[in-house]
Amino acid sequence: MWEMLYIAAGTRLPIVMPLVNRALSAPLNIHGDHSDGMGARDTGWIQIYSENAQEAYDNLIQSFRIAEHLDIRTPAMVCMDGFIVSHSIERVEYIDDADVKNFVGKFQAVHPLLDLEHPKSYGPLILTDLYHEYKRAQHEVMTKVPGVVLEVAAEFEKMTGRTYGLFEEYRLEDAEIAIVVMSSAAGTTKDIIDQYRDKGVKIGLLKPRMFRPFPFTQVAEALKHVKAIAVLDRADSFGGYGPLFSEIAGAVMSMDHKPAMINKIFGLGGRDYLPDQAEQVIDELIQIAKTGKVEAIKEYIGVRE
Amino acid sequence: MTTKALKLRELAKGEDRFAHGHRMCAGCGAPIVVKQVLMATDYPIIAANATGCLEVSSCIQQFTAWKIPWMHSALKMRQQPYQALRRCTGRWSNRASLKIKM
Repeated sequence: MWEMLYIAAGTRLPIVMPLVNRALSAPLNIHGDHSDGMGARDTGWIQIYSENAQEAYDNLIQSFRIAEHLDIRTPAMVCMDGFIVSHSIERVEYIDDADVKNFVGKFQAVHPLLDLEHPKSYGPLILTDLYHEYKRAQHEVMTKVPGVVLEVAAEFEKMTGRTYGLFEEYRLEDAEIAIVVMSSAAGTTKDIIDQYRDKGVKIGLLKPRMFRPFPFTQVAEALKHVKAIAVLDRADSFGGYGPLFSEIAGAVMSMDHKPAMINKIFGLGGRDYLPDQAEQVIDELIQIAKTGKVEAIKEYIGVRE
Repeated sequence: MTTKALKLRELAKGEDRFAHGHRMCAGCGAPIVVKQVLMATDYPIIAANATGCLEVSSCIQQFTAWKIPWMHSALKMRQQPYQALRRCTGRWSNRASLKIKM
């Protein structure tokens, strides 16, 4: 199954696939974490992560326009947390069907296989003389995706009044410490950030929305003033840092004054991410910002010892 | 679609829809089979090719020997592209749907 994702992207098929993020076996578990999405991050698909049902709905509608955009024509997966979002009841503002149809527009087939008068061959073999160039071209296409995502988001905002970017910044502007976390856990984290802000702690949040392609430079710009960052990963890359941490470390690399960074693995297999876990992370960040000392870079939180 | 008896000599007068210059070995039977099957068909035809010798030799980026629509999907996919095409072409009884705007 896995290589089919690469084939869809390599063939530049503008597929839109909602991905209800789940843990992968073994042992068998289908509850919400990002193991599946992170495994698919290198397949060449665009990946957009959603915090709640509203975002999943909005992102899905936008993704048709993004994937089918003639400048990129690349498949997109719209991710939401399994069970935590997919099986919960939330209020959602729907858009009228007519408006959605009008926004999405008509699908335009480009070089369709079923056109008998202009026969096309799909799925060729490619050898050592051209594969490298082909993949380089795919890389080039990915560099155009952020522009398309923002363009579509701007139009979507005109229709609904709801704003989307490449990532969301929450109370980050004047923050000294920051948490980076994706999807539903960002909601809980924002509540705890509010509590710490009330106590005078200058903390903010960055929630990546577009994970592939990853907006390195924009993320670096948004985080350039913070002293310490905690990156929370809902997936592990066993034997390495969490996948989101690696991206943020990559973004931070270009900064003149590098912040201290820690990586917390949380919520695997649908384990609840509780307010006290966020508090624990923030308390540690406060200490790191004060002392500049990091005891353990990568750690699991919310584990039953 | 009906099946009628064909004479090889008559068949050879048909349009050759498998281009010369494909990279199958000299003397290989597969391209001859493809060529004659295509000569023998007078109805809309699309090929779904499983991975194999014929597939890797007949369509190597940036060339194709196929003068009909042709697809290959993945190493492990044999039946799936065929089934997908069957579903798509199920509506072909209405020939009007064949005319796809470019």
